[in-house]
Amino acid sequence: MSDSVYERLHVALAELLEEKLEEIYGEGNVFVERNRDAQVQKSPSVVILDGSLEPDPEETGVAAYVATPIIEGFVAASTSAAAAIARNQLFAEVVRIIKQEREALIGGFPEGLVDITEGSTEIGLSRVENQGPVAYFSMLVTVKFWTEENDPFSPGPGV
Amino acid sequence: MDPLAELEVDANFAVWGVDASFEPPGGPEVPVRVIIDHAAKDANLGLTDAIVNGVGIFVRRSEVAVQPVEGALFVVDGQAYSVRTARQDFMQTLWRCDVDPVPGS
Repeated sequence: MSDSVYERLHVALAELLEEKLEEIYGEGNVFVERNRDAQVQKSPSVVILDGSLEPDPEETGVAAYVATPIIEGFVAASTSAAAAIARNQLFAEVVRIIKQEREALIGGFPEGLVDITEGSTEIGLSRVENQGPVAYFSMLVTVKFWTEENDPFSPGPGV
Repeated sequence: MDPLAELEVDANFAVWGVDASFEPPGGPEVPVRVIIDHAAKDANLGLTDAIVNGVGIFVRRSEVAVQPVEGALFVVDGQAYSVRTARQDFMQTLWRCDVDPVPGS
């Protein structure tokens, strides 16, 4: 059974982030996972959640969708200041990958199939009693893609 | 303090406590008995959330009368812990100290 275009996009996004972040942090020094069930326990960690998926009714002749996967990043450090700095670094690297490596992601699909843009981001920092600080970000990524009108498994012509 | 409460606190330290030393900045070092909290806790961040590890140290006010200040040291089994913050428990019998392990100690 083949994967839907929607699934393939999420897999491609997760694989791209894992590959590029490992180039920066070193293999085994950064942890990237899709739709993780349990709370993260390693730092830095990046989790890609499927988020939401909406059809775009304005397109005709094809099925257009806007998916908004959520990318969460977690960093632990010995001080809140260090955690915030490391969180901001991880966030910037993720943004850079999505923007500069955009072609690597989109290139895996037929031309014009996918359009990906950075969305809004929430940041936070937690210091639990007796525990070290953890800083995190949660970024929405907007992915517009097209499939054949009645076939979510087949890429559509796009724009 | 209520004698019954004091008995309960002392019983907990007798069972769960370990011998240690405490040294405020400028000294002197004094022997104490402490309970170490290594429990992991939820950070409550985002949808995925994170579990964070750390160390807390509980010491009785009967052994450390003055509130431990930042930089005070506990030493347990040769490992030093530096106090970040300390506050009383609700019964005013203990100091609950957030501490950081001192590397290389």
